[in-house]
Amino acid sequence: MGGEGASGDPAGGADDAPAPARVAALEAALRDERAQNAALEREVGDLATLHAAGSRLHASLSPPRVLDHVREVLAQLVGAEAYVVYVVDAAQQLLHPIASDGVPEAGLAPVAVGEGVVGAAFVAGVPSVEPLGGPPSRGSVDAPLAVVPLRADGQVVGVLTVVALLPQKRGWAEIDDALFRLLAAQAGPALLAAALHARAPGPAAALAALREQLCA
Amino acid sequence: MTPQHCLIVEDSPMMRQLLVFALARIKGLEVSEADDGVHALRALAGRRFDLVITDINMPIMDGLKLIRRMRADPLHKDVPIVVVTTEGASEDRQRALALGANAYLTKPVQAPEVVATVRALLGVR
Repeated sequence: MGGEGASGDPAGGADDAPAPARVAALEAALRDERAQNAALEREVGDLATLHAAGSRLHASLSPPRVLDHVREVLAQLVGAEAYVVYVVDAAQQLLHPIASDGVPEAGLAPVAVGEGVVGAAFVAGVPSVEPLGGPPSRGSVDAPLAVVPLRADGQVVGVLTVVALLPQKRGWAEIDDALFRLLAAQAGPALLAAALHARAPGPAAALAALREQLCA
Repeated sequence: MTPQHCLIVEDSPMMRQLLVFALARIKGLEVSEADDGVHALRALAGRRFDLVITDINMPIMDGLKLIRRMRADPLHKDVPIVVVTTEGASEDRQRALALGANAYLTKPVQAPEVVATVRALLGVR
C-alpha cells in the first residue's frame, strides 16, 4: 500500500520526481496526516470532556451535591486546587462565599458588588484569566488566577474563582477556557434549580405546579 | 482476535465516563468499572484483567492499597497498572511506582495521553 509507483500518491503527483524527493514528500504528507489526526483526537477528547462536565453539573438537585460536582469539574478537569464560589445577595449588593476548597475559611468574607477583582467581574459579567508564570500557580482570594461570573437566565447570579492550581498544572489549556464558559453558563442554573428544589414540597407538587404553569 | 480487558478504578463517575470514552479508541478492548479499591478487588477475584487504571484518592480503599494487594496476588502480580491521579508530587509518583505501578499520569489528563499509555503497555496499536 502506498509503495513506489502506486496510484493515489499522497505526495500529490510527484511520480516523476527523483526517489529521495518522493520519499521526503511522502514523509511530509504522513507527518501532516499524523498531526491532523492528533489534533482531531484532542478535539474529540475535549468535546467528551465538555459533555461529561455538563452532564455532571446537572446530575443532582441537591445543593451540596451540585457544589460537589462543581468541585469535581474544577479539580479533575481544570486542575484547580483551591477555589471559591460566591452567590449574590441582590438586596445587600454583596457576594457571599457559599463553598470553597483549599482556602482558609478565615480568609473568606462577603465581597461588595463592584469592588475588587471579584466584585468587578460580577458587574462586568465577563470571565478573566490571569496568565500563569509557571508552577506552583497560586493567587489569593482577592487576586485569584481565574474569575468566572455565573449566569442564569441572562443574569449574573454569582462568581466562581480559581485561587490555586495543582502543582503539576503547567499552564492554561485550550479546554480550560471552554470549561470556564461551560461553568459560567451551567453552574448557575444547576445551583438555582437545586436551591428551588430544596425549598419545594416534593417532586409530585413540583411536577403539578409545572403542569399548571405550562398547561394553564 | 481475543479481546483484552481493562478495569477502571475511579470514584468520580465523570472521570470514569471520560476514561471509558478514551479507551473506546482501542479496538478489541473491553472495559469494566469499579468505584473504589474494594469493588476493584471484588472484580479482580478469580479473574485476570490485562490492565488496570486506578485513581489514588478513593473512599474505603485507596489506589495505593489496591496496587499493594494486586502485587501480592500471583494472579495479578504482572498486570500492568496505570495510576491516574491529582497527586502530582514526585514522592507520590515514586511511592506508586515503588509499589508496582507501571505508569503514573496526573490530572487533568488528556484522552490521547491515556490512550497512548494503555496502547504501549498492552502492546497494541
